[in-house]
Amino acid sequence: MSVDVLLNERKAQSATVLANGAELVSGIIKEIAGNDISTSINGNTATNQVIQTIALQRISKKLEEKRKNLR
Amino acid sequence: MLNKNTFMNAVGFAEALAANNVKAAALPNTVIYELVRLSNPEFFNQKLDNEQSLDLFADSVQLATQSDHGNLSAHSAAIDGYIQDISQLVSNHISYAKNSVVPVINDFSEKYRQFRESISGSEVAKYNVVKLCLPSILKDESFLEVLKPYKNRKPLQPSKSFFLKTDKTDEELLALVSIGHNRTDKLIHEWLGQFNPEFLSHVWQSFFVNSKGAATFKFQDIEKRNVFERCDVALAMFLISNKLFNDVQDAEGMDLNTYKRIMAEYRDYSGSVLTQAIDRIVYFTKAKTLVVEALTEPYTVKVNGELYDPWLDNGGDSDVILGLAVSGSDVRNLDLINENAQKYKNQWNSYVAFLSTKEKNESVLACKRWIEGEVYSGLKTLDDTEKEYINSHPTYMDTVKKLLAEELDMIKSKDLEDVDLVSLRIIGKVRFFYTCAYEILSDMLEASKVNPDIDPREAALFAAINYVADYVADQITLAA
Repeated sequence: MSVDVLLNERKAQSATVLANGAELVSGIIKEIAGNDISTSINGNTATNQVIQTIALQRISKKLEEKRKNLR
Repeated sequence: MLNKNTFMNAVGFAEALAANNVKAAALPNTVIYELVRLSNPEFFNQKLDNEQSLDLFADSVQLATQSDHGNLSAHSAAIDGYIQDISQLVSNHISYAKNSVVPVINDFSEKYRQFRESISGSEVAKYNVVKLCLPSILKDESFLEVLKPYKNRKPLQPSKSFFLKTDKTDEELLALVSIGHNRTDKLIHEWLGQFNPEFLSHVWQSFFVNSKGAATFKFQDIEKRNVFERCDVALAMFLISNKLFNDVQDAEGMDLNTYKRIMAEYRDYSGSVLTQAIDRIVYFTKAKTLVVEALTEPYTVKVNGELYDPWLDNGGDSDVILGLAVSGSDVRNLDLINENAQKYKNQWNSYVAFLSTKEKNESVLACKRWIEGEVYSGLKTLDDTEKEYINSHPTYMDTVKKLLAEELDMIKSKDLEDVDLVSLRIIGKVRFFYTCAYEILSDMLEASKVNPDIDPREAALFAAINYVADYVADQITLAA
């Protein structure tokens, strides 16, 4: 298997896991936002994409911590 | 459904993992594992050998997960179900953190803030240099003329004390010490201005009235006072007795002759003490005696104001005087002090550093002891949910004890200054260790530190996203 294929397979598998995580987070946040939790950030509606990006940053940070702990 | 945008957004983060030769994989028997299983495109058989193929893969994932003509896809059905279940749990956690844990944290932080304020005073602040000056009235030629008859006379303590029946108001006392000459009275009022308002009243009560309470001043103590303070008491006594010699008051058990004789004794005594003290101050100044008196408790060094101000103007430093005091040296002379100024200054700096370290250590211990006590005291007031948890978990107290010891061990001296963070760590991680309050509230606190003007509901949004993202991250492992 070529290096490119291996790299892209890794990306595809990781992206599937991360995208499912992000989708789950945004779905839950949309469900609970309202009274105690704002539906906007800096006056703009917190869209799925914004929520997912924040979630992906947090998940990546946690995974990076795990990676460092593995070494 | 996993739409293509969501997937491609995740690709950016997946690239960072790939660059480190790892990939994200869902742990078995988890929600993410199930969702990944349901989002794999079964019929994708293209080689992932370029960026376009990754794009095609994203299309396939979307196709595999999207609902079709009203028929919910397995992925959509699963994720909808998880969202319903988990969102209810997350709502409950946030609600409990906000409504039950936050009030306990707020109560704790208020008490902790008050405690820290109560121990915040430093010992260093108790060290003072007090400048004593000869009042202008005692430098005034015309007033010194009045005192001339008492010069070189040995002070003789009055043979009898007065027990005048008249009590005096502050205004009446002020009238008693005024002599009716505008310029001189102005100087007298200026001199009185340096004392607290009770000074004259204390002199009156101590020497002229049959005071039931303990007298502030006593005859036998007057000459033990330093010369500057001796001047003040003697001057007040002199002015009053001088006035009352002619303005006869109703005195207990005294006829007029006795009254006049005793009042003259008061006047002569105070006049002699006063002239002696003035001579002594003049001598002190000529002999360059800078330090008049050094007291411990409160730590006060009283200095000769006639020398102190010019000394400061010529580069003198109050730290030198404080260093002299803490060194325990008996040196009082200005020239000798100047000779060792650097040594005294170093001694003061070392003392301050020592005191500061000592106080810091004591403060850390005191704070930790207080926190420990407050946590246990707080457990006497529990809400129903806490009671229910504790009743069904008999090891709760043991866990609290262990976590509290660990947390106190981890909290550093610098951390203790952050009242909000300490309160959150102690209450969130110790008392409510079995909830997710700490995770949620620490993210809210973090958001409010980054942006102090943030709306609490917006901070709660960030905290909720992070909380659920952490839940997701816990279900992911890294694989080669």
